[in-house]
Amino acid sequence: MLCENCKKNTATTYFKQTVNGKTREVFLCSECAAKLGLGDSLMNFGNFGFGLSAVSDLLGSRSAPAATRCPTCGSSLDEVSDTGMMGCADCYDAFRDYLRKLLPRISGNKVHTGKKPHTSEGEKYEDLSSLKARLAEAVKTENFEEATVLRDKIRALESQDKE
Amino acid sequence: MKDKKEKRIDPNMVVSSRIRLARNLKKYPFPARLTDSAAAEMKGELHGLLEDYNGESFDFLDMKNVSSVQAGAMMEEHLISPEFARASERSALLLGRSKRLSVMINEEDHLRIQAMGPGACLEELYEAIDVLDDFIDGKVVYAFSEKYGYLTACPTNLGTGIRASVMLHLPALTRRGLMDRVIHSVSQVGITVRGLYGEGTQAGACLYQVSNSVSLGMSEKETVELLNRIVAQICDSERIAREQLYSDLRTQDDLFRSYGILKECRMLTSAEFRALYSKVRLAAELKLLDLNLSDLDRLFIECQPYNLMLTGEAQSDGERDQRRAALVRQRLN
Repeated sequence: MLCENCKKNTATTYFKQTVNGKTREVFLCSECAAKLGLGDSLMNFGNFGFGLSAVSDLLGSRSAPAATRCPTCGSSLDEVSDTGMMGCADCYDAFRDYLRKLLPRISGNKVHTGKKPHTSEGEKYEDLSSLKARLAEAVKTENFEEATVLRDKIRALESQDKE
Repeated sequence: MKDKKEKRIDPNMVVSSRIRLARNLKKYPFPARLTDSAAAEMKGELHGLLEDYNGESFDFLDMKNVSSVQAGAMMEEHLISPEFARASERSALLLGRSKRLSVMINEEDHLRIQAMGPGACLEELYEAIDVLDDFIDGKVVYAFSEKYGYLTACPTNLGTGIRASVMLHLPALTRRGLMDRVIHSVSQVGITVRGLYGEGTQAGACLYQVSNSVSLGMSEKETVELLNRIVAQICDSERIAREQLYSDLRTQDDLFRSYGILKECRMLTSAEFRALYSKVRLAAELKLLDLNLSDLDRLFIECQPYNLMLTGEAQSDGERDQRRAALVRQRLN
C-alpha cells in the first residue's frame, strides 16, 4: 500500500484517530511519519502537537478528496506545495483548498483590488461574508430584488466551495 | 498649512526607481511547465508584440544569442533579473531603445514588464508602464481571476502583480548598524529591503532596494503611495544619522580622502571601488564635492565586473582592476 501523504513510498506506519465517536485512519511511509512528527520523534512533545494537526489535515482530506493533479498542466499537489509554484492558471482552481490555507499566510484574507485586463467581466469579487452582510442589509431595507441576486451569488459560491 | 512632521523623499539619496508587472498568457502553462516547443512558439508569437507601440521602439533580443557577459552586464544595469541572466534558451527580452521600458519573456512568469528611471520617479514610471500594459493587454489574453487578480506562477505575486522598488543610498544608517532595525520595522507594513541585485545579494556600496512585498488586496496606486511614504521615512532616518555622523571635519576628511584615492589609484578591486563610491557619492550628496550624482551612478555600473569585461578581451582579475582604476581616473579628472 502506498503512503497516503507522499503517494510514492510504501506505507509502513498506521495512525488511527477517534474524534466524537468517528474513527479515521491513515497509512504513512516512515519518512512522512517522521516529517509529520509521528516517527521516532513520537515522544518529542514539540513535534507531537504539529504531527497531530498535520495528520488531522490528512485525515480530513480523505472525507472530501481534493484534486491531486491539475487537469490542464498535470502538476501534482505535491509538486505545487514543494516548490510553492503553480504550473498554470488552472492550478488556481484545481488546488483551491491548498490556496485557501496558503494565501492567508501570504496576504491575509484579501481579494484583488486594482487594475483589471480587458477580458475581465468587470464585477468586483466578493467573499461570502461580505455578500452575506449585503444580503442582510438588503432584507432589512426590503430591497428584495437585490436580495434575490445576492442569495443566488451566495449559493453559487457555497456550492463552489463544497466541490 | 503643511504638517511640520511630514517626511519627504530626499531625491539625492535615491539612485533609481523601478516598477515591474508580472503577467501571464492564459493559453500557455507558466514557464516552469512549458515544453520547449511551446516556449519556442510563444517566443515567436511575442516577437513582434511591440512593433507598433507608439511610446518607444523596442529591440527583440533572443537570449540564446546573448553571451553570458552581455547578460551579466544587463543584470548589473538592472535591465534583467539575476535569474533571467542565468535563464535558458527559452527566454527573450524586448528592450526599449532608451532602456526605460523592457519586457522579459519567460522569466518566472511569461511576461515581466519593467519601467526604470534615475532618481525618485515611481508615479511617472507607473503611468508609463500602465500604458504599455494596456497595449499588451490589447494583443494577448492575460490569465486573470476576479478574486486573485493577475495569476502568477508564484502566489506571492498575485493581485496586481506589481513590484515597485526604489534604490536608496544609506551609508549613515549602515555605518551606525541600524539597517537591521529598519528592515525589521518596514517588514511589518509589507515592505522588503534587499541588497543591490535583489533577493539574497549583498548590500555593497550601502545601496538597498526597498520594495513592496504584498500585491494582493492593494491597488497599484496604494502600493506606490505606501512605498513613497516608507521611502520618505527611511530618508528621514538617514538624514538624522548623517547629521550625527558627518558634521565634524574628521569624518568629512575620510570622504575627501576617498575621492583622492579614486582620482589617483592605479589598481582598484570591485569591493574597494564600491566602498569608495559610497563615500564619494555621500560627499556629493552633502555638497562637499561638486560632482554630478547620475554621472557617479553611471560610473558605478560601468565599473561592475561584466560591464568591464564588455570593454575588452577576457581579462584576469589584475587586468580588470587596472582597467577599473583607469576608467575611474579618466572620469573624475
